[in-house]
Amino acid sequence: MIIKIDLRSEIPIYTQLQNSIIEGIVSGDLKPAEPLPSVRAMASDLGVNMHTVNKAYNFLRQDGFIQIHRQKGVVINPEGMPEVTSEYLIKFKQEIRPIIAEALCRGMEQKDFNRFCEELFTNLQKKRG
Amino acid sequence: MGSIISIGVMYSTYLILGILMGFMPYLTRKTESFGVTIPEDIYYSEQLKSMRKKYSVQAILILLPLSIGFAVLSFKAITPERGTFIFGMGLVLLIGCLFALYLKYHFTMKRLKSDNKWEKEKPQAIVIDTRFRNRKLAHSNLWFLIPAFIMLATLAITLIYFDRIPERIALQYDLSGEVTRWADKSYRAIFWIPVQQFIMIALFVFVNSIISRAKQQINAANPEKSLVQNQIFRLRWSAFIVVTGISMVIIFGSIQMSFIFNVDPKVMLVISGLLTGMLLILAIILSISTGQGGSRVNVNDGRTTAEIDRDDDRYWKLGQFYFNPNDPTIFIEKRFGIGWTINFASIKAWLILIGIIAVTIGSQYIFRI
Repeated sequence: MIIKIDLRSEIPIYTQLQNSIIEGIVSGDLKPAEPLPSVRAMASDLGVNMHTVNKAYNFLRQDGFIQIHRQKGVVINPEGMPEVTSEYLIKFKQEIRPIIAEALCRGMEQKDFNRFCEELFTNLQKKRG
Repeated sequence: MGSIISIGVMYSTYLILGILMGFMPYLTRKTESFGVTIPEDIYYSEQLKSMRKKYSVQAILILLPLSIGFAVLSFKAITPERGTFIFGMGLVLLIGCLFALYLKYHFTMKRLKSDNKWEKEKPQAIVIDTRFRNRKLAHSNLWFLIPAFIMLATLAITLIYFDRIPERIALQYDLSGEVTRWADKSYRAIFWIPVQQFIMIALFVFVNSIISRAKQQINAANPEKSLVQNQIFRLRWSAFIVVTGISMVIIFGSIQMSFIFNVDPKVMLVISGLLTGMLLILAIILSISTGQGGSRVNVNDGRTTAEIDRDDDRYWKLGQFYFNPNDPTIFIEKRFGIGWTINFASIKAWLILIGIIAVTIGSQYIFRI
């Protein structure tokens, strides 16, 4: 899977990395049990500090998207993806709240907001096939 | 006669090296110009075209008088050793002059870039393929079983025919076939060549591993195309390393055979001269046809996007020396040249460099008699 990191973006690199891996899983570009580059190889290819990659991998591991083995290295979780848990719902609401707040601040209509969300949702779902 | 041949060999290498360096701006990646990151379309602008041309013309104008001058000096030298020494001096001077010329263009390029604000126009991106290292990036190290077998054969023949080896053996020749260093026959002297062969094989295995491990550098504007180009680039140079490894071990093996079977050293010189010449020509063909990073390999264009590569100019000191303490990379593609260089901020890189130098020099002293 091809990962693109935007260096001009305000979003930190580890978040971009995390996001693109999750999107890769959703779109099927990254299959279950597929290996990912080691922390060192990934950091070297990106030209960033190893901590950056470590941070992204650790978040992904905690959430259950990837597994990190001592021998096999980093792989997409072969046992399937984490489900919608109550913990996740708390996090989800927390993260979407400022996005809605900003949209409201700018005067976005609720129906527009819903439409954009729906568009993106179907778009990503379609990729999943 | 001998000295004419040897000077001819030395200075044709000199010319080839100079010409390759003189045309380097045409061999680099299209996202770089004189060690400065640029958007690819700028590479094809009239301004840069004329800069490249001017650089090459000036490089040749430096190269020609230097090579002629030093060739005459070498020819007039009293001893062949002096001639070789003068050649070495000439080489250092050539590299120094061309580096100075490069620096002039490098600083002009930097100024042009900041005046025109090229890097500010487009979004900068890093693109990587998570499956890059699942691709075949180098030929198997099992290929080095061939030179390993030749080394073992050399060793076996040496042991079997130990009695036939004369009491005095030649350790070093100059290019006209005269022996410049002798050694008394001893196990140490006899094993000098197999040990050198072994070190060479180890070194080539190491270089081959570097080729597959070096940093992934994909052009953000066209990742699919540059992925394929980069893979071809690595595979071709890996093949070159295999061929070079085998040739070098053959050359050393044949020198050892010449002690045992009393072959005229001139024959050995022809064999090694031909093989070295072949390798040199191969290296030139590869450099020109492949270009740095595979930039000259023709691949069907994938879709092109507006992104430009990350601007990491500040980590490239003088445009040629990579120094980035944040990057765990050890080996990275050269900017103004063909092949790879090290991250000078990495302690591991320095240790590897010192290790290689220590092993090569150390082996000379341990087995020197």
